[in-house]
Amino acid sequence: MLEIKDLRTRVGGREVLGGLNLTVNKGEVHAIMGPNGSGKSTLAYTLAGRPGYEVTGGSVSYRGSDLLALAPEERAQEGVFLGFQYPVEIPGVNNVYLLKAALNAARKHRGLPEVDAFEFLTLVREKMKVMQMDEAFLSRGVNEGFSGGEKKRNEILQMLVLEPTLALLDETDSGLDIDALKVVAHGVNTLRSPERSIVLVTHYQRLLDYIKPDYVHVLARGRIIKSGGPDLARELEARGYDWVIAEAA
Amino acid sequence: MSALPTHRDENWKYANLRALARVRFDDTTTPSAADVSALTDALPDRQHGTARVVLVDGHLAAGASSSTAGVHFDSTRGGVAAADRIAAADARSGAAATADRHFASLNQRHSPGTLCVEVPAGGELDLELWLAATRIGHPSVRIRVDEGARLRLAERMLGSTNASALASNLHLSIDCGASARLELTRVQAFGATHQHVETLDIALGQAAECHLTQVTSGGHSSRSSAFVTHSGRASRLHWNVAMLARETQVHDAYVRISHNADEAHTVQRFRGIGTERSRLAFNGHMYVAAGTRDVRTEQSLKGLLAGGEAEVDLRPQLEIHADAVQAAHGATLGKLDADMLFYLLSRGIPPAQAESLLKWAFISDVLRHVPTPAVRRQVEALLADLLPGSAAARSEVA
Repeated sequence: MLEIKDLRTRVGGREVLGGLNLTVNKGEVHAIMGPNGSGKSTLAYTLAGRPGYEVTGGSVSYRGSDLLALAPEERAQEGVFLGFQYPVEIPGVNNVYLLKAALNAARKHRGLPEVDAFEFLTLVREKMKVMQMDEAFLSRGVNEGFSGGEKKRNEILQMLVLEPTLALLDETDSGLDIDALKVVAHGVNTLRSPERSIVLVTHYQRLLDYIKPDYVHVLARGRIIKSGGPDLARELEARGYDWVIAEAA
Repeated sequence: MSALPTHRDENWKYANLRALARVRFDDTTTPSAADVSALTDALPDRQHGTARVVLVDGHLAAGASSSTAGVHFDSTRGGVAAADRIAAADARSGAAATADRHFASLNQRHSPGTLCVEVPAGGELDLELWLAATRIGHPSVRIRVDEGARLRLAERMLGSTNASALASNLHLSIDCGASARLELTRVQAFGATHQHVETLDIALGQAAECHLTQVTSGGHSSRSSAFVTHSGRASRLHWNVAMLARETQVHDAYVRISHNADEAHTVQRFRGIGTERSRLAFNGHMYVAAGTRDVRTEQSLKGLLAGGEAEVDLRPQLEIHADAVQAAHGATLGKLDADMLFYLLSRGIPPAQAESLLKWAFISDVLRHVPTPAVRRQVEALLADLLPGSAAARSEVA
């Protein structure tokens, strides 16, 4: 699904990713953990193609093709979804339109006709039930006036509607209370399938109580310095990152 | 009559005076029946329950207009009524004998007549006013909304597409009586070679309320001079303007709002988007007269530079001669928000559509304040045509 080799990224003239390697196979869930400033969000943005994140070396193969050669919208149309840590507010563009435009862009890319209005609303309502969201959210501006938790639910709602092949979730658990965390985790879990992969960026082990990862990686100074199973996350929660960094030095 | 303004006249600093100077405003003729038919036949069906008046180059197109009580065309050229109207407006606005009145005087001299709309006390009227152009015209419109009356007026401006030298010089004057309510939606969508200039005089009586929403997108250049006077206590004004300019278009507006009575309240919003080599200017002048109390003004002017070598000039002005006043104002100028753009791209939306959506979002701040949903949807539909890819981002759910 995703093969990252020796990826190097500069942001604002500073190298943040310094030779990162990661392989994610179909159906797998990978958790990326690490201290502040280690490059976790930079990895997510680099994969999504955010301007200003300059790739200076390495390669990223996604389903056998060069992901880095694609524009951001092409990556999304190919099935890469980025769940933002801080989703932006776009007053004046309503949620339902964004969802429909995004879905139709992906369908067009796959040579499918635009989704029928009735079919679309049926789909969205079904996904909103999963995310326990009120339908009133549909007619509101994108993330406009949403609480932090509502924004995160909205990100996962978009993901459920778009059904990506590769989901990159950047600190989806930040700012969530325990009930909201369960709802968001449930939403993510409904998307799990043998054909899909998920990369979770998180600071805390608590998210991984609800979304069970296949692999946990520690990212520090722009490189993955340790990988393991779900037990690694629990150990990090108990002992912090210093011992891993010392071990890798 | 005053001379043509120059760039030394402060309120005309950004106007496309060179283009206006080239127009032979005295070269007026009555439009041919064929030209009138070509334009009026292309108009959309009239809204149910709405009266319609069509002026072509300032002349009444009787065949395309409905017969409505309180609406008539006074074909007296110039005349005492028009002169009085201009003198009264000059006195109210304090702009007499300045370059600002040049085009109103020109209109008085060359207009073939005045459309008079009178809504009697307690009455209601929904009216479509189409101002069409085939050559050079001086449409003149006088509106009176009496005490407690309500007028919903949708003004549309459009030009023939098969002529090369088109120009219009509109004079619109409106008197709102005590507790009258006016909802005025103006859409200027002239063709690419059109030169448009207009003078608006609006007076608001005690507790009168006026909601004006204006969309300016057409013509090669347009200039709007508006003089609004709060004459009566506790009058309310909402002045919302959206301007879109592309290629080499020049749109320029000067709006002077005089608060001459206690508790007058004005909210003014301007949103302008310039692309390519276009120029936009909005000069909002809030005047609060000495001796007034508890006047409130809110002014928000925003410009968006959306690529190319576009220029947007915003001038919020406060001229306050009273002590007990609340006056808020802000002017910002920027480019498309990079974070918003990336968010849309990351959802697979193509760049051109994403940019249109963000422009829509920028402009919609003006549209959301149109009080009547049906009117709002009409204006949204027009803007959606101007911003391809944004159509369904309108207020309906899907």
